[in-house]
Amino acid sequence: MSGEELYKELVMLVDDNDTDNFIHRRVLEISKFSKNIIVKNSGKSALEYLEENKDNPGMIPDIIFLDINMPIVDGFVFLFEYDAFPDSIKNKCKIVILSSSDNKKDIDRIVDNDYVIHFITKPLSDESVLALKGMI
Amino acid sequence: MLKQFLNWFRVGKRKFGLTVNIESSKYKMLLNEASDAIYLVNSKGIITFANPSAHLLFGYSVQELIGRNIDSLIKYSSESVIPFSSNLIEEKGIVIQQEFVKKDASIFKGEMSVRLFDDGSHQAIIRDITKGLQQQKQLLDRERTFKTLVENSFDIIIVLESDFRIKFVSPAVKKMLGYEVEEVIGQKSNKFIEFRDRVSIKELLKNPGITYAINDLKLIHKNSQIIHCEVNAVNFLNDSLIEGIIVNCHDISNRIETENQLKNTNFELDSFVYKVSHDLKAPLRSILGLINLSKSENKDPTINLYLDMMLRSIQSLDSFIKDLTQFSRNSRMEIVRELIDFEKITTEIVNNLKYQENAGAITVVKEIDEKIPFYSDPHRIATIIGNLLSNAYKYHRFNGNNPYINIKIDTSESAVRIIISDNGTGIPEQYHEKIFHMFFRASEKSQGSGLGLYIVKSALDKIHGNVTLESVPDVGSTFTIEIPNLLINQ
Repeated sequence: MSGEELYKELVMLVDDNDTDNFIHRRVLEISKFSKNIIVKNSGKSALEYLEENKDNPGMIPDIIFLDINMPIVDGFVFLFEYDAFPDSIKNKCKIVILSSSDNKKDIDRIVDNDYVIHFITKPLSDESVLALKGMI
Repeated sequence: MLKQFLNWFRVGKRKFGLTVNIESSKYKMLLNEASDAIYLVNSKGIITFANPSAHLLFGYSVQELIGRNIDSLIKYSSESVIPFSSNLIEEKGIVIQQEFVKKDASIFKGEMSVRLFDDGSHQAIIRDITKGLQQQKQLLDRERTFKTLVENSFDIIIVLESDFRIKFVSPAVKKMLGYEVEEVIGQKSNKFIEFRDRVSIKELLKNPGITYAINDLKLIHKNSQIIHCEVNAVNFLNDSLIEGIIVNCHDISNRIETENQLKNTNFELDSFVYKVSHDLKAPLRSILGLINLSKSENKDPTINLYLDMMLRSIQSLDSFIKDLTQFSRNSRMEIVRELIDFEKITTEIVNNLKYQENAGAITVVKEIDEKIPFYSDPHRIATIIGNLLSNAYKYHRFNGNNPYINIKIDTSESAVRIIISDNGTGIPEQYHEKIFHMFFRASEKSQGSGLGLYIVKSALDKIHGNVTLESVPDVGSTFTIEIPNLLINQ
């Protein structure tokens, strides 16, 4: 970690698609956004991770990249559950939606959430990471 | 002196005779021109005079009538066995209804006014009242027809009092609402109208004589089921004949049900298209991501070339899916009315397009005046501008002519005018109509589906806009669009 200028200490990817998780991890590494990347392939396991580590600030990611379309706990359900977490977590951990949807209705609906800071249409690219860096 | 007197007497006598002649000719004229049949009968029952109307009425010529016994013209029913003759008329003048026989033996009913003279002769004036009777019968028949129509109509026909009490209701009320006619008469009509619709009917009936149509008035069946009705109502309270409000209720429940089914089907289809397009897109986006990664980690120029080709194929498939989704949404989605932010819409579109090949070489100039708020369907507006701009990017020329795209948007209270012009490849005149047709592709450079401008046109049709095109090959194209402003919500 030391020696490299990493933008964020810790980020989390939440997506049921393993290929996408692989791509996104690589893009985040190459673009030096972060090297410490937690990958959760379901909304449920991501929520469980946050619940287990809620008293351990060092384990709470700075950014969560969240997919919308997932079975059972999808992006919307995740955000609903996330709202119940203590402010200590919510203040530290911001959410970026990463979805293949470019449906305006989806985008409008999910961006209308206090913790969502950005919407990126898949695939995550160097350009979109750069744009994200610019806005945080 | 005597001579003078004699002369005077002669002249006087002549004068007097003249007067009588005038009087009798006037009387004759009256008889001849009277529309009623008039005849004179002597004491023996023989006709001595008949006027032309008598000829017309009975069918005999005047000569045939004179000398004929009056009894041959009169039909004797079993009740009046006594032959009609002047002797039997006890009163000096009477008016009776009597059946008569014509020359052709047909029978008609006449109203007869008889005057008996002292010498036993009589005069009769006869008017054919068959027509009057026929008219009366026709009137009765018509009334019966209307009654049958009203009673057998599938629609409920109601007459309301001014306080909305039911004065008359047709038997269809049983079939449509489950009530007997007797249960309903005297009740307030509101009892049968769904709560939320009650105000509307009152509002509508302020002006007399004007027909009000209510497209979907919800009535309540006796079993509390809702019946959708198309209702026409006319206020005839001031009409002395009707003194009520006439209401016709036509059951449209089936139609409404079909409409709802259609809405559901549309909704399902929309969800289906949304899901399918997502599921098609997701793996494409993964491939795109992998290609991007490969490109950034690979240094071999040949492989890079292949990767670029893969990239373009994926992009064209991706935009085809987008076309399909837009097309299917435009044809079925209802029009949404929202404030349009042209600055934001155009910025988003230009941002999405700037990753296209050579896009960096194009100067985009925006000139947006949206001081007057403009309301329309945001998705369709974005689709229209998006497709036009995407074409302007795709079909540009990059041979050192400073490629540009100008976007000029100007809102007014009635409409918005959007002008998108470029100095790109242009479109030959013979294609100016066809480019808006489905699947038509005017350019050999075209890699699209041929849906883009068709979608523009159909989206414009939905929001009542129009598009005109000016274009010269190798000079450029200008698309001018006008869309009405829904500033006032209808």
